[in-house]
Amino acid sequence: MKKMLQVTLGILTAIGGFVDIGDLVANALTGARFGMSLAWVVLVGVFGIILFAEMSGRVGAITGRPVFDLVRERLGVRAGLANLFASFFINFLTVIAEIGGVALALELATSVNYLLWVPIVAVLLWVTIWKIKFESMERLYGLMGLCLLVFAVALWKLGPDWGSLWGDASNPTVPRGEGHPTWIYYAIALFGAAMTPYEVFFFSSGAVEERWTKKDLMLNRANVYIGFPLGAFLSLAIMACSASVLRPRGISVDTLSQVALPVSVALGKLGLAVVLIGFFAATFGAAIETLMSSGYTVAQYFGWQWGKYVAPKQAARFHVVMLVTLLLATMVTLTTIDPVKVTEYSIVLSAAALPLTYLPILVVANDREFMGDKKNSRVTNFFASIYLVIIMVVAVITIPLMLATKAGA
Amino acid sequence: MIGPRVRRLPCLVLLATAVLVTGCVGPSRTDADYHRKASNSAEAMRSAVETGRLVADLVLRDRAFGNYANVAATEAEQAADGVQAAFDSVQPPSTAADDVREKFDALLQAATGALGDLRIAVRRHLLGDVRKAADDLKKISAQLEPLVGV
Repeated sequence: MKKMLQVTLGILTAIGGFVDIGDLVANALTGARFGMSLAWVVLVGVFGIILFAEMSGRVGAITGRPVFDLVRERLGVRAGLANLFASFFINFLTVIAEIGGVALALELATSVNYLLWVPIVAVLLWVTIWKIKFESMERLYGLMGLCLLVFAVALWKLGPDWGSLWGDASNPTVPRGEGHPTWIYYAIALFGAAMTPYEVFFFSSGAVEERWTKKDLMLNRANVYIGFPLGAFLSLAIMACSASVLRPRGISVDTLSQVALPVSVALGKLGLAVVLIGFFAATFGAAIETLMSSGYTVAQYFGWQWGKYVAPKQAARFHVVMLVTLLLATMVTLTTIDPVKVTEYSIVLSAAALPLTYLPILVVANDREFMGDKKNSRVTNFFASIYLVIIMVVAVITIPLMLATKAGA
Repeated sequence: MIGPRVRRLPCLVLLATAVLVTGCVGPSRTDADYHRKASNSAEAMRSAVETGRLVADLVLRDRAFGNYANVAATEAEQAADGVQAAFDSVQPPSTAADDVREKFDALLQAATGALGDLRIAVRRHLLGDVRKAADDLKKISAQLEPLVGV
């Protein structure tokens, strides 16, 4: 019974934790602009993250060591350093975006300018990371993130033309008046949002934090195979809400307040209250995850003691990295840089850097020395190889597309 | 030896990226280009105006909190300000384009003004004024519609 509860909680956490500011903005933005014609990208993205998150969770459970630690050992110092730079930079942008996202969610609820919330959010984040246990932290914000399921309820209440939504999704074509490059650019943004690298670093380090062993592989699979697809369902609901309410009115999504409009239209004040809690939980939870991922990557690369399973005094450098990252990200957010724009750039740039994260994971998950009989199966490798090709193509075309389309303008 | 030129390359690529990506509104060399920019501005302005209409509708039907409606209306007004400022910064390439600028700018100003009125009414919770602003925005949206995608 206890095991069952743990699995259920893990799944619920994975659903709630799947969506962050990047997913919120990318799904609402593409739904408003392209309808459901990019829904297939969410499915491609979620299948990819399932594949690699399962691998990294398995690596953590079998070896008792996180992926980043093994990457340096397996691929050497230089390859590990390239991986560290790329991951840390993308992570840093995401921390800025998430802190801004939390502050914007609070602004929507209070009407107090988000910049005044930024320092308070930073303090709250630090206190949470310092004081709350890893498992409680993950569960609390993951479960609160389930409030975002209100998008699915709103969609049902809106009663859209389901046939038209399905037609758009199942027969994807570039909408009239839009160019192919722009459409592909936003497809990459969605793909990047679904496959954000911090998710796998956090997942594999989390497996070690929670002291997973071979016995927990079932929990790993349940989280990934059930939680992530349901998280993707949430993403599609956000997209469909935008496609149903904002697109017919010609509204393009530039702010977080616009993302919530369809819920308010469908469910009124109650729905709005729930969605604002969901925004807060999703962005706050993701801010914790990205901050911790920053600490994980640096500490694991340099071989320092890391994690919340030891007292902060024993992992001082790990905590210092997180604190410095938090301070810098807070300072950047306070420059009045638009958090939604930072989000858009962070997910696209993360798409460009994907090979640096996912290729090493694949290499490590195939190493018999580390993984024994739990190394990747042929089926997993077949799909992972296909994904590596996709990831490589995405990485090569992202920056030229960004220039050609003026970042999707 | 790689040499400093190659090492400088990533910096130049980064700089070029920043310049191209941030340069959203450039100069117009032809009337056709100016019209295209006007059309893009009309599309962006219609988005802000329609956002304002939706917010007004939510307030009138008591389906949104005051704080949320205030933020959403303020952001719609800020977006409209941005669109107008960006369009005004484009140099008209000919005297014919001056006429387009004059007429279109008046419409953009009307839109920004109506969104400002909406923001004030939402903050004061004056439902009569919210209704009036919504009516104005509806008319402006209808005027912007034919200019989108021209």
